[in-house]
Amino acid sequence: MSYRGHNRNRGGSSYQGHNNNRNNNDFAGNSNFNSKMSDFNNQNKIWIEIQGWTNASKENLVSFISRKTNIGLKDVEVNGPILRGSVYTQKDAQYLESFNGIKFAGDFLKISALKTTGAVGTIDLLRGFLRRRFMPEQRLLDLTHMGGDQELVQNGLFSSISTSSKMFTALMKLATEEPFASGVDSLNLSQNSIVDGQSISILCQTYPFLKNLSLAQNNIASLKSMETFRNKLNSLSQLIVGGNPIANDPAYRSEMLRLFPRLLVLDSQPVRDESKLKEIWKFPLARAQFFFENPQIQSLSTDFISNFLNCWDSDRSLLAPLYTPDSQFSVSVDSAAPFLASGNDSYQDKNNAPWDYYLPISRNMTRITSPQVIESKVAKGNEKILGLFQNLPKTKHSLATNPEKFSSESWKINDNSIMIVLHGEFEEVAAPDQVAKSLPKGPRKGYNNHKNNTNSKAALSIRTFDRSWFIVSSGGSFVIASDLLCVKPYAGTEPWTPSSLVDGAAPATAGSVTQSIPATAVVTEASPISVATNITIPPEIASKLSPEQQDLLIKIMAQTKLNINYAGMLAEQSAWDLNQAVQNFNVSKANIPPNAYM
Amino acid sequence: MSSYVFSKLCDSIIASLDSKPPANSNNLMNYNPLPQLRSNNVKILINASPLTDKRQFTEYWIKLPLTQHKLQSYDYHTIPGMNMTNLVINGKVRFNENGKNKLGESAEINPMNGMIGGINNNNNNANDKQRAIWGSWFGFTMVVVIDGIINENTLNSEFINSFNYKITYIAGDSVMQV
Repeated sequence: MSYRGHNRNRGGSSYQGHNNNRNNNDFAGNSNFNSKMSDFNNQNKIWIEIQGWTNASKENLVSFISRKTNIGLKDVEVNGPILRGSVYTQKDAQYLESFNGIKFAGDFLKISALKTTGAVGTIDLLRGFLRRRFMPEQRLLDLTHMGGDQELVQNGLFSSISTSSKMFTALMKLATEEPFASGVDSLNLSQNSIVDGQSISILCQTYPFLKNLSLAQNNIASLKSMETFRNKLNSLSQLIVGGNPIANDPAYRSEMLRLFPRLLVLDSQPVRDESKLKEIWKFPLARAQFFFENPQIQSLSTDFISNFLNCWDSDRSLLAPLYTPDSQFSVSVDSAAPFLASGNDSYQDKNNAPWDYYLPISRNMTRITSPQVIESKVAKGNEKILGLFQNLPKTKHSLATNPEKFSSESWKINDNSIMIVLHGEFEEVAAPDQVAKSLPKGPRKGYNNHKNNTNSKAALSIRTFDRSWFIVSSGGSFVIASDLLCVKPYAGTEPWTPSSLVDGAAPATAGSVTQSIPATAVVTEASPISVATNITIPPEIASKLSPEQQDLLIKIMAQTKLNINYAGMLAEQSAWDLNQAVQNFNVSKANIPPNAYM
Repeated sequence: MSSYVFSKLCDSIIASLDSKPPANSNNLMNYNPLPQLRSNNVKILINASPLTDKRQFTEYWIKLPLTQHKLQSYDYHTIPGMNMTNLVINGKVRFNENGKNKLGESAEINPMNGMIGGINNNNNNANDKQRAIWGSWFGFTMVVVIDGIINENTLNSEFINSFNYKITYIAGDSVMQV
């Protein structure tokens, strides 16, 4: 983005409107930033002097300049025969200067811009300063005593406390653009005459994963002003605030513990126990991607799921034999479920997709109360069930190619029934065969957040879903007694990633809980990843590998999406250890070329 | 069974999961986070990890911080001829991020004696003393299998034969890890 230009005041609503949009998109979550930037720019405004206008009033001259050049002069003041005003950019100044000699009120105007250091110079100056102060070995950005930096002081950048607070905001914004932005674990802000927490709160946006912060020897007097940090620096483990008035407050220690939930060391004193802290902030058992109560159930449910989804995506009528006249199917929509919006525009767009196809058939019972409507939303028997299937958009589930996007649990209910639950995502690829009509207004209440127009051609999207099948065996085969589908905005795949892969550590232990896992066969070894993928290894490569290595290679490819060559290199570098390979992959992800992927 | 009964049941499940253990009790006897779970022959899964029985569920649940569940969707089918019901509940949940679990345990080191557990170590009621700091919302799904016919008066009886609790969306900015 440009640091200038937001503050141009040329009138004309379309131009300003455009700027407003840009402001909103520039820096999400920091509405203050642009106003801060404009303060910052005030330090860099360019003064224009105009002479030869004394036959008319000051107001007439300003209005004349505005009409002729479309530039509004700011901070207008008159000093004898000279009118002075400011503009924000060099471009505006040059443009104004091009009108030098123009005739006004019977005289010729003399227009000249005063020489300044200029905004570009300031930004370069700050960038140079940041680079001087970054210590790559220690991953430390050392901004100690910025007011003592010769170069900054000589250029008048830290002339007063208020300037330095605005300057800090600008500095942090510039820091996000530095190549080392993600390499900063520690930030030292000691001896900077900082007077409150708010004035430096922007650092949470620049370094949300900061581990160590020193605010030593400043002048922070209000504990309340530190509230701005509450749960924003959730990775901070060391904090130094000594040498500030707040450190003498009786509530200081407990407040710092409250504001920084992972703080371990405060002013060089241990304040929390690290291993206990991990225990407190974690579910007692590690999450898993799959649970199958025994190998028979595993084989039955993995076959069932892959066959079911194949038919679902290709021809839903093929599923008819799985349902009986007593079977039930219904769909519910949880449109307000939390969804993935972590700055990924494509997902954000997807989650703005309307729910038009689903709402008329949704049996979300928090939203409908009439018993008749509730009854009408469940399809009973093959014919009605197939009818309702046709009201749902056509889909694609990438179970075979991307098994990591799915998670499943299956268990025995009683001697002749089992439950199969599947969580995951699907892509809508075409409108439903039959678009269900919207209900008249009334029984539906409170669908919020999402556009809800009545256009029969709604945009297609990607959705997260949960589906549970209650399966009953009947004379050697099985049927679906109950089929409940819940559709939600796209929520990502993180919940299905086994936490042992994320942490690169063994599953969490939790005392008695893990020790007494049931003795029933909990199948985790034969993960269905290899069952469900259709990744094959070409014979010429397979012949050089042991069966274990082939299996591992497939798992690596499934997990990382790397093509066979890169997956092979990764496997070798990781001594043919899956966990090690995934860890190495995560570490070097940023440097892997696009052509390394399948 | 009327839909009203299931609406009450969903509210009751959520209220009991969010309940605080009673103050000043050091045993689990007085804490019953999901009374409807059958004592014997019950299948319990949390994030696809199995728990053996109701008692273990209680031990598990008390180790989590206080929660706040919000019901956003539910749907159910009663299976004809089986007296069983497949109930699916969806919604969002957030955790109290004040640094204590429901037992009142914290990782704080007492500055006086260096003991872990903080100043309120012996006070099970510590959660009451500090205001809750609610983190960001996570998504959850519960698949609940109900064995038998339930009515408004038996909502706390032991009729849950399977309970599958799953976090389906992870709030990236929460301190809590799943």
